[in-house]
Amino acid sequence: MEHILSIKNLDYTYKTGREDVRALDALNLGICRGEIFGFIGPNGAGKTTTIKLILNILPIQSGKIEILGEDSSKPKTRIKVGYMPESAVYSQYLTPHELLYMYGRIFGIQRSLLKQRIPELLALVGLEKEASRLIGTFSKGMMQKVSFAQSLINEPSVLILDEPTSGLDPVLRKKMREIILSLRDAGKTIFFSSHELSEVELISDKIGVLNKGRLLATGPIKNFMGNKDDGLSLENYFLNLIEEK
Amino acid sequence: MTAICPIVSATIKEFIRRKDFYVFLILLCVLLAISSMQNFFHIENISRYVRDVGYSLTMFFSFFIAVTFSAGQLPREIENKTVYPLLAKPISRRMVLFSQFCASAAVSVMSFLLFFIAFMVFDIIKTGSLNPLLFVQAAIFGTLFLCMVCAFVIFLSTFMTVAANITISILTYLFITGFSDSLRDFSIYAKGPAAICSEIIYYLIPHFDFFNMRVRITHEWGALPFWVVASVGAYTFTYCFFLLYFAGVIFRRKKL
Amino acid sequence: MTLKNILVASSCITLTLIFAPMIDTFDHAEALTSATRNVPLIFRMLGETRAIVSTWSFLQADVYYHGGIYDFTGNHTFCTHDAKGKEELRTHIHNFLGRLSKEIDITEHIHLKGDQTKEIIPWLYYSAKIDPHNTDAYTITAFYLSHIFGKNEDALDFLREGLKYNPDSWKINFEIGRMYFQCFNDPEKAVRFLSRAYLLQKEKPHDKFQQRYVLTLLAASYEAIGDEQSALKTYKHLSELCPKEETFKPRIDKISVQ
Repeated sequence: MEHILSIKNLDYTYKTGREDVRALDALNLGICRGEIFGFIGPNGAGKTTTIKLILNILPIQSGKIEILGEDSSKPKTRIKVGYMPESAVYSQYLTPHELLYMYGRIFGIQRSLLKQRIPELLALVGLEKEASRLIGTFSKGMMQKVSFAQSLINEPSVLILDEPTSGLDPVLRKKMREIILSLRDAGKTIFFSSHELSEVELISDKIGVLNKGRLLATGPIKNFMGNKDDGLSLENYFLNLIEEK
Repeated sequence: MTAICPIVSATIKEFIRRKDFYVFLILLCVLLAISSMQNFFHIENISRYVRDVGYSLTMFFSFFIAVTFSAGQLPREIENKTVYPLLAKPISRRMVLFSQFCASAAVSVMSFLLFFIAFMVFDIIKTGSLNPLLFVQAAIFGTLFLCMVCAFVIFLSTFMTVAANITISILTYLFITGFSDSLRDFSIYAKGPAAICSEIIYYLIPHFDFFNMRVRITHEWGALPFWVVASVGAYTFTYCFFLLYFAGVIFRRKKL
Repeated sequence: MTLKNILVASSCITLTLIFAPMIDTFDHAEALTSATRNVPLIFRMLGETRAIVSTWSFLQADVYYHGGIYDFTGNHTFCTHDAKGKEELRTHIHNFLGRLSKEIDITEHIHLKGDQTKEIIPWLYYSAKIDPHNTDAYTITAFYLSHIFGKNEDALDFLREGLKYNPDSWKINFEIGRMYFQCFNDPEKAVRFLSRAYLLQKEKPHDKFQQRYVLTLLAASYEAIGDEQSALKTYKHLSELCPKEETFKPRIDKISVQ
């Protein structure tokens, strides 16, 4: 099956001056169209580094990344990519409408189209009433909603989410899961990293387990769940895998 | 290029809502009003010191806005992690940097022009006349000056913290305006390696002194020839280009 | 330094400027010396910095007198008073930026004339107000007020204010005496101030020409009030001071005859 996001032999080393830190070691990943891929691992495993390399926020040192068949280092490759960073704090002096408008215009989306799309997006994330309120007055949950909305402004084919439910209450988490599932059903490919294994269990089609820069395991979620009667869960599997390695 | 306009307009909205600008504008108007209302032995039409105070304050406030705003642009984006969604868009790092420069310059120039208009209004009220060509030149030079300041500060922001950047920028400005004449005169009469070194330094430093129209405006010395204005414009464009180019090189390699 | 701190500081300065006159009426000067008792609050707040700011303000007056051009280093190597000077300069400067800088600079040497000199008055005024012990600020302001603008009353009031803070200043006493003699035609008062100026001058460093100036006016004032003995004594002292000067001999001869 054709991979919409393909990572081949990706290495990355942080050169700190004192000692080099190898963040990624020969990472190979392939994500197919229309699937939700959960990228999990302990703190410092290299999840955010992988995401930054995919988006060319960090330059590739060795290896290759392709998105929709194009080299990821070219800016035009990211036209159909949406990204939600972890815990970003947007300008407190802009409204969600203005922020989405700015990002939409950066993509080159026409004003008339944005006029229609922005209210739809705000309604999707439940911010339609706060469209003209300054972001500086928002709670953390509302900020996450804004962050999620801006990742969808260009109707991306590939959505990359870094800890999308981090810091959210259970109600908002459920809402976020529902939105992600509906996006998958609409044909979008979602690549997300998370510490919340229960969330990953609930929505992922495939997962990859990263530890100390190495991909320990990857495959359909059902391969990691086992029988319910066995009492195994993704968390148990994950902990066993990390301890073994 | 499509990325620049939305970033600039969002930045301007942000700046207007911060209200810093209004504080400076009110302070300028209050100080100009106090200066204008002073009575010195009932001698009428004493205007030069009002013009001097007005122009100096206009330039000082604009310079302060340019430095503090530009110094915080990139570090704030990185600290708040908003640089990541920006770089995740189809926009290169160079373009992000250039749009930050355009945004800072737009904000600074907008502030400067509004301060300048307020200053002109007070000047017309006090003196009843003004030299339009001279004031247009002063507006052009002020704009060019702020563009150069923004480019310089943005360049420093690629490798300095905000506080260090502001300090170095202010010290550089004071040094250039205070000593560039001496450096020029030294390079004329120096010989051998000293002459070469002093000329190189003279070319490398940002010549903020070119833009100072205070004496001309205050003491009614008349406008500069067109070729001088055009040369200063070309110099500003060239210097900003090199500053932003090197800033782009550093920013491309910066670990975010 | 956060923006908030800057805004707070700016607001404090603005409020102080606006409310300082009201605060001044409050009598809190008992602990202060008489020299500073009546100095406005805003200037007292500056402390010893007053002298520096006052000197700067005084220099600004000189800068304004020269049309904004002032060579603080005294280096007039590249004065370009005329086209020849400018052309000579261009042959020395080989780099374009240096020449551009010189084209932007204003290097003509001018002095303000007549009514234009009013532009220096604010700086002299502030110089005197900020540091009341800056006697030159009082005397020069008074000179311009009386000679250029004909405001003799204002000049005299200003000098009297200066005298209040500097009772032992021979320059201020001299200027007041001169004004009474030359502008107000009151030689009796002139004699009082000029003789005090002479006594004070002897205690302080001064040059021969300053002493000559004081004594000349004093002698003329004595003559005007009819005190010929004192006038004669003063003229004789002048001729000893300036033996090569011939102008005093006829006065001495005339008074001796009378």
